[in-house]
Order: sequence, then structure tokens, then C-alpha cells
Amino acid sequence: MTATVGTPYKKWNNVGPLERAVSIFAAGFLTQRCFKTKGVAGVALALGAGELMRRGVTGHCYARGYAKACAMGEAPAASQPVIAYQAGEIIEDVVTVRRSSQDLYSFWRKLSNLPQFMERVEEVKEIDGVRSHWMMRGPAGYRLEWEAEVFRDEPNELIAWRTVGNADIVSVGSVTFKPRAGNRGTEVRVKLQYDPPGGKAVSTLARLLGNAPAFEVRRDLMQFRQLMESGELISTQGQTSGREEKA
Amino acid sequence: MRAVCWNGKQDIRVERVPDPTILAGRDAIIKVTRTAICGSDLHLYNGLIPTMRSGDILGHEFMGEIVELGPDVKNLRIGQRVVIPFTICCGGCFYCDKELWSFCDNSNPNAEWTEKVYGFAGAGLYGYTHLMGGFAGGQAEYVRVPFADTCAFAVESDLEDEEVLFLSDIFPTGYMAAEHCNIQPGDVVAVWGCGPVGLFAIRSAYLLGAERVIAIDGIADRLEMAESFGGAETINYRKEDVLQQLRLRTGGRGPDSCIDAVGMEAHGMGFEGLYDRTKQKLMLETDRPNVLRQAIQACRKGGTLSIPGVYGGMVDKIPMGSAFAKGLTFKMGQTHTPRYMFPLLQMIEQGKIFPSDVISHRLPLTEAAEGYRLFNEKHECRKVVLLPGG
Repeated sequence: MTATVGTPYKKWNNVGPLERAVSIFAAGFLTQRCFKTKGVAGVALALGAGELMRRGVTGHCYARGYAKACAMGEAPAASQPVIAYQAGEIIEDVVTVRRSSQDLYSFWRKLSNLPQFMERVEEVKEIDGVRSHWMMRGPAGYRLEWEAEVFRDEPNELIAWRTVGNADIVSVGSVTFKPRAGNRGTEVRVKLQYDPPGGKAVSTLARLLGNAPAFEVRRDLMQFRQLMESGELISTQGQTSGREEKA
Repeated sequence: MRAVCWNGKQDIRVERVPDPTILAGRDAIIKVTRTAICGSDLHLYNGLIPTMRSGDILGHEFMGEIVELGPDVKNLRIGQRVVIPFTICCGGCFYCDKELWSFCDNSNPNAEWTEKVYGFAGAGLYGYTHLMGGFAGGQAEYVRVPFADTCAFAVESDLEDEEVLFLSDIFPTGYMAAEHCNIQPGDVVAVWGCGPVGLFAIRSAYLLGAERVIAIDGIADRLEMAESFGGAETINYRKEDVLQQLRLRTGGRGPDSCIDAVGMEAHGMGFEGLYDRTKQKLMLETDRPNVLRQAIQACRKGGTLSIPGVYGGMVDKIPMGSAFAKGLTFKMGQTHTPRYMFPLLQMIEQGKIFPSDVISHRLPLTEAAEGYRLFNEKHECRKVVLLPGG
């Protein structure tokens, strides 16, 4: 399940089978009506019927693709999306951190900092200003690797990235930094869409086994806040207890 | 070192465990000179709060001497005498900045689990379940103190350890409970539970200007303490009708504020008590809220209900209609301890209060299991202080 930016993606479809059937049916209905309607309205109905038919037959909705791309902080002209609309999983989470957006952006933009608070990410190597190589501990001890590129970078406001080449997990995501009024810190919002290896079935299973990526994103964001606000990650790892070998 | 370990319901053992070590830059290691068993430790002792693990070191009221400091602690020095607040606070988050220390965002390493249960996670606590962070507690010879540069409260004065030990929890907890009542001249405050927190709440209510404090308990020596230490008038709920007595003693209006210093393990009477005990045993309810119900019923219209007693989970049959009809204000939560340590130390220094008077037992740390047993039975046992040195 890999996709490459630059080559058309197989799952261009973003309309489900039922919806496609409905589209085709609706197209038929509008075609009938357009012959009975005169003037501009009739032409409009005909055009609408054409688009619905195309949507039903090809299974791609331009409006939806555009809305999705905007929601992900992506440039609208996503003629070759990394992941099509209904593929993959979408995660959104946010924390408010009591630091300036400048501080937070700078720390995050230095991608090699990220493993400090992303628990499963072992290493991020920055190849150049845009591309980076990631290594992550996956479920059951598997190591997952991918290359990513930053495709939008607005200092102190937004960083958006997507995987490139043969990624173990195909993903696209963004983090935004939005200062809040009244010395309330900065909202750090992560949106992530990814294609789980093995598809929906595997990701559902992973969730049941407690490896829910949404939960991990939450924890990593909380750890980011800890690091930025208190200077360290609070931990009890290595502390003493009556469970250990008796001294 | 020796440490008091929880091994299951009513199974406390003093065991030899490895000494604690510095784990992060802002840590300190404290050699414990005095530690105490808190009433809230009894909820753990009785197995009522989930996420304890066998081998956990208990204790969140302790003080001692700094023996080791992490590289990032600049404001403390080795050998200093410090009292440690039971709430761990980072000092850098939104809540610490607002002095709402017990809501610290960054001191609970298990916060993402706690959020699942409570919606949002409060501060990490010492020796008080893994939901609250799973930190090794202070009923031990040594303890690791995270964020020591923010948390540790240095006490330079020559007051005895036992006079300042309770700044770690119960004195600030009783004080905050009274402060929550927003006491006005002429106010009558009713306090349920004359354990140590209740006693400090009674004293604090007077310090904050209450005209009268009425204390409610069912144990004779605790009621005596409420009179002698607290200066309160008392109601023995085993002998008197609490609601009727409160009405009679407040000109028929009800107390202006009610403090529930009992929490989830209230000893309910009669059918109601049996009902809650049965539900708790069947795990249909985690907390027995008899006091809460009574306090809601007793409070005057527009009054305040202040709850320092600990609740951990679900309660049942809360008379919300009464609370609504009377427009009650509820104030509760873990104590924002660091906010109170300095002003309360000053009160102790000025001789306005002698906290060590609440102590009934002093035991060597090695006899902690006996201390828990005595405290749980309550009779003639008010507050147990453990001495790690002997």
C-alpha cells in the first residue's frame, strides 16, 4: 500500500460505492427533468446531470478532493493526492502551550528534535531543508521507515509535510501554531492523514490492541507541551519500588 | 533503603528497596526525617481507588533534608530542610502560572490515561495510584522529588519538624476548604469529619473569620479534639439527628457553608449506609457519598459546599434537585498546596496554630503496617507520624 507523489495514485476514488450508485441514479433523474425545463435552468440541470454521471462512473468528486486538500493545509491543486479521500485514517488533535509561536515553531521545524517527544519516532535525519528520513518503532517491534518532504512552510505558523517514495506508511500532515489572546499561550494543532499498513482492518485491530495512533498523537502532543513548558519530560521510568530486586 | 510498600488490600509491608536516584535535571533526593499517614491513604489501604500496583511505595506527606540535586536545580542546596507539597508541579504551565498548582499540566506521566477516565488529568501525586502518575511515595528513608526547584519548600526557621510537616498536605487542605467557603462575618460553618483535615478546616474557618463552627463526627475522641483543638461545637451523628440539630443551631436557616472532610468512605447510618455499602461491594458504585448527601440537604439557600474529602469515581443518588433548588455553590479538588505553604508557615511561626497537636501516634517507619491498621480502626488514633530514623 504505497503511493508516490508524481504518479497517479490508484485510489483516486473518493466516492463510496453506494454514493456512486446514488449519483448515477440522480444523474438519470436530472437528465429526464432537463428535457422538460426551458432556458438557463434546463442547461444547468443538464450540466449537473453530466457532472453527477461522471462522479458516479469515475468515483471521483472534485469538490470533495478540494475540500479535503484545504482541510489538510495542502495546496488546492491536488491532482495527485498522496492519499485519496476515503483511504486511510485521519487524526486531529491540539494542545495549548505556554510559549510563543516563534519558540514552538523553531523547535518543531528542526525536525531532528521531534524524537525527543514523539515516543515511537527513533530518529529523524534532515537530508536537506525540505526532505528528511524517519525511523519509527511500529507495532510488534517492526521498524517503519519513510522519507518525507516539507511542502509548505510558513514560519511561526504552519509546517505541512507528506511522505515521498516508497514509504512504509504513506501520510500527509500539518502542524499549525496559533497564538491565543491574553497570555494564554499558543495552540498547537496537528492534522494527520495516513494510510495504515494493511488497511482499515489492521488499523481497527491495532486500536483494539491499544495501539491507537490517535492516542499516541495525544500523548506526543502532551509530551511536547511538557518539554516546552517544564524543560523536561516527567517520568517514573527507573524509579525505585518494592517490585524490583530487593537491595 | 526501607520503604512502606502497598501489596494489596490491607496488606502493607515495610520492605528493603533500592535507593532512589536522580532521573531528571530538576530532581532532588530527600532524606526523609518525618512522614505521615494521611486519611486519603486509607482509601488505598482499603483498596478503593484503582490502579495501584503491588510494590508501590506509599506516602505523600513528608519532609526531610536534601542529599542530592539534579544539575538544573539552582535555588536549593544540599543539607537544606524542605517540606514537599503532595502535588507535583512543573511551575511552567497555564495552571501553575495561575497558582492552580494541583491542576499542573505536566507532572503526570500517565496523563493520557487519566484523561480517559476524568476528561482531563490533574497533577501527579506521590504514592497515590498510577492514574495520578505512579510516583514512588515518601513513606521511605529516601524519596525522589521531581521539579524540586519549583516544589520543595525550604523551611529555615527553628520550628520542630513536626510543626511544619503538615504543610505538605493536611493543613493547606483544611485551610483551602475553609477558604472555599468565602466566609463572611457572622457565618456559621458546618464541618463533617473531625479527622486531621477536618480539624485544620475548623481552625482555618475561625482564622478566616467564622463566627461559629459546628463539627460532626461519630467518634468521641475526635469530637473532643474538635472542641479542644478546633474550638468547635459538636454533633455526634450516632446520637443526634444531624439535620435537625443543624437547623436548631442556625436559627432555622442552615449553615452558610458545609465542609465535607470525609469523602468517599463515609460511615452511612441505617438503610442508606447499607445501600451504599452493598452497591460498593457489587462495584455498582465506587464511593459512598453519605456525607455529601447530608451536606447538600443541610446547607442554607445560596450557601457553599466545600469538599476537601477525596472522591475517586462514581457516586449515586446525589440530591441534585435540592442543590439546584437552593442554588448551592460547589468547591472542591486537590489542594493547590504551594499557594498556602508560606502564609501558613507564618501563622505557625506567630503561634496562631500548633499543627503537631493533631498527632496521636509516633511510630518507627518499620511499624508502618501497625500504623495503618490503627488509623483505619480510628478509635483513639487521629494522626500517625512515621520516623524513618527509628
